Amino acid sequence: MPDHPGRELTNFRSFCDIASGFWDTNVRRDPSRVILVEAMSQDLRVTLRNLSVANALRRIEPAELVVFGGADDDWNEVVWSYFDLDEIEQLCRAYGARHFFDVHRVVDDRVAGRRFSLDVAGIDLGGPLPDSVLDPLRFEQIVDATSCRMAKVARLDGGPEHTRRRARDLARSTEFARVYDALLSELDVVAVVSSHVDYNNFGLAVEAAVRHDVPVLFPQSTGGLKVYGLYPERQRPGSPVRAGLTEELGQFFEHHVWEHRDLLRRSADLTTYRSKAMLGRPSWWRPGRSFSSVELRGPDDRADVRKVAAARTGLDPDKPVVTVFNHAVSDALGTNVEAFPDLGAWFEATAEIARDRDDVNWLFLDHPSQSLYDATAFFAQVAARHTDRPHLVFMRSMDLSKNSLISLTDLVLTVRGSVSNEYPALGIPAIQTGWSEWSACGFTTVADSPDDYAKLLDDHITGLHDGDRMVTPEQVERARLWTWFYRAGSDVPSGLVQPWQLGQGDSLIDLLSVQMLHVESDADPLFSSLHRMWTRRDPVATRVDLAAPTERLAVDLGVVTR
Amino acid sequence: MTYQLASLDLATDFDRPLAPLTVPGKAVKGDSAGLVLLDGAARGAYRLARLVRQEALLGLSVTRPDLPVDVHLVLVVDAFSDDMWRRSRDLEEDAVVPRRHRLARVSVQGRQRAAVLLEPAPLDGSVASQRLTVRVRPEELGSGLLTLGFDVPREVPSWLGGAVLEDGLTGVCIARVSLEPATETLTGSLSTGFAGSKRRRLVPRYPGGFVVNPAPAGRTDVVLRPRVLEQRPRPVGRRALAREPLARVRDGAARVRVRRHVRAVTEVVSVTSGRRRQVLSDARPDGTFVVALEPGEGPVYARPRLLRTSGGESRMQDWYCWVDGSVSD
Repeated sequence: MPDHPGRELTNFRSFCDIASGFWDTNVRRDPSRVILVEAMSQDLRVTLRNLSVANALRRIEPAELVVFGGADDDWNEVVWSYFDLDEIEQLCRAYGARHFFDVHRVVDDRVAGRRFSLDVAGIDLGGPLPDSVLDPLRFEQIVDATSCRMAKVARLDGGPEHTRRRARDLARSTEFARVYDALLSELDVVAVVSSHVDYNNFGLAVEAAVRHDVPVLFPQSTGGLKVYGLYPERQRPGSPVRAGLTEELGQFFEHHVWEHRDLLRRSADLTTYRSKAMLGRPSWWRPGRSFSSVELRGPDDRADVRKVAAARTGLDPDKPVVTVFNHAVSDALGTNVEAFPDLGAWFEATAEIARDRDDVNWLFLDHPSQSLYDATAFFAQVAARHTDRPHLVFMRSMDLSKNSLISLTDLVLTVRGSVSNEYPALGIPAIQTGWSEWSACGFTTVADSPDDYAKLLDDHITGLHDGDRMVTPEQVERARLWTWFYRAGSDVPSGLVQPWQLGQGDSLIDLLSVQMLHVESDADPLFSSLHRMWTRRDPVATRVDLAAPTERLAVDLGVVTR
Repeated sequence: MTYQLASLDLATDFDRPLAPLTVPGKAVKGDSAGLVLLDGAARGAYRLARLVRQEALLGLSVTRPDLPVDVHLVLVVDAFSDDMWRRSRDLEEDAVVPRRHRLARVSVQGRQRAAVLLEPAPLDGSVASQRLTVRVRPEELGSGLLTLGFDVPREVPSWLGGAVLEDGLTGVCIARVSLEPATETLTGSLSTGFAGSKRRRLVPRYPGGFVVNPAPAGRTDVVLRPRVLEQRPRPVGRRALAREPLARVRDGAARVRVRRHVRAVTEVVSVTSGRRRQVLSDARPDGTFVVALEPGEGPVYARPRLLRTSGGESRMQDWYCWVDGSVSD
């Protein structure tokens, strides 16, 4: 077993034996139907979630598992550092995969014109496959997004290097699309289970699924078990796949979370309290409890720390501060509705607007992981264009503590960043220029065009100057309820998955083994939540039945009663 | 007037009100109720807090006083400081930590008040501690949150640069913070990065300087005495015996050198602004020199050199220094 950072598995082989025995008696099979499962991430926790969801679905929809895994040279160079295909295949086989194939290798062989024969569920993936019928514009967007990610740029510049890269990605994308279309058109596919919906390797499978009226289950890489559902009949025609999810989550939130706000108020407050202390944070939030906790008790503390932070940053504490949170500029471009052509365009446009607005402070922050997504010093380049404007301050976000950020920020600007659900929960307004899972839940302002954005920004700045409440108490409550919904209501704790924070080492493997050997599987939340989600076509798996009457919901949640 | 966001809502029903520190009062452990905010620091189990980043902020809730308050800080460097420093740089457990000083700048209520040069952690397992006192006016404690900021100056004089540990704040322990009513005139303080004897601090020729925190009011006189050994201790051991003749010659040369130098020049550099000035001092009858610092100067670096009567500076000189009229350690 090769060494990997954080993953030196002592008992992996015996775990695979245990898992094989467990799943053998906990699923139903039907060789005429398949569930397509993605296994293209290096992190075992991701594949574990995909496989667990697929097997939970097999308890309702008997089927076989067909797993497509692997990585190519680009992914291994840019994104992964320890991808172990053998180990992932072992895991997939232990979870009952009838077929496992390296789709990246298939694609590369097809691009290179190498002859091979690979039978996957009766389909020869080495043989002639018809072209995909994916909308050409959407196809080109996926190719562009893939090239940007692999080149780590905000956008392609048309130069020789980017042109070569795009040509390679176009060729690969064409073959990915053919392979996925072949699987989905020739097999009776119950669902596609995928951890990502972006780029050519993940995204084209999802697009093919939607086009063939096959639902997509979308486990998330955080928390316990979080799964979104993308249903073909709920898609917005002509929009990216996440757009329909945004709308559905907004409706679900309205009917099943906001409706129960009185019952959930205490829970939402507790989640917000814990969130301030960095407990239960999503996996991609900034780490470091000594630096990322919110300890300001109220306006007085905020004012005191604001003076300190302003002195450090060169901002004027007496003026409102607009904080612009840059994105990782090549991250999943074009996968939801956005007002600007790309993440970089939004950031650049915001800086241009800011130049002439010295009535407020502007704090531009880089993304903590930007080095993984940007090879062009994009942030520094934008900063360099505005050195003549002292009211624009550009800083590394990790150079400021969360207390400092909360003390300074009076308005959050982002495209789809989670700061736009975090800050409104503390009464700080946010403007988004893109859709996100929470953007239809009523606690942020969403711009639908660059002109709309400029106007909303102007209105907000005027409001800040006038001392208006730019976030209503209801919006604060909605944001806190969203935090609860994200971390509890739609987070399913299952012994068969284990919390993300446990890591992917021996602790995870050993706990899973104990669970499978010694805990009867009936009513495991993985199964009950998936059953509920699937049969109702809910957009998200929930911890309990949020559609239940209030009295029963209170019992199911075990709420604290007076 | 600091901008106030009308919609701000930080509170939850689970926030626990904590009893503020009273004056007099002290916070000595991480679970002190008065310690309400830590940025770049971790709560200590047996001490107040440990710094984990090169910029840190502690916030203490205090009962707003009617009169000025002296805030006494104790900063400690120990073996655990070195362990944390090693871990922060992914070094092995037994990697040698360079025997260099740790430099910290201290701000109170957002205003730089002091700087301190800390000794390396003693090799015998004991601790090196440095005390610091800052006076705070009642109006500075507006809402009752006392903020103590710690950072490292971006630029230090070149003569000090090589003597300071990179990322030296990592692992520095803020052992305790105590609050006392201000009763006496607050004198200035200084630190050299070496242990002192009573009031006197040793300033070895390398790096050759130290840090002074002038008194908030009134002039601060820093007294300098060239270190000259009138009588060497009896050599012990063969090596010491072998080196004794050369050492005696060196001491003799030092005595001659000091007697020939009746003036000293001290380079004074503001820790905050970097502004430099040279202070000339004539030798007093007792052989000491005085460098006068004004209250508005803020913390400064100081490096004294003897001036030869024939011209030029003599850099190969150790010193003792202390603040005239300073409170004893």
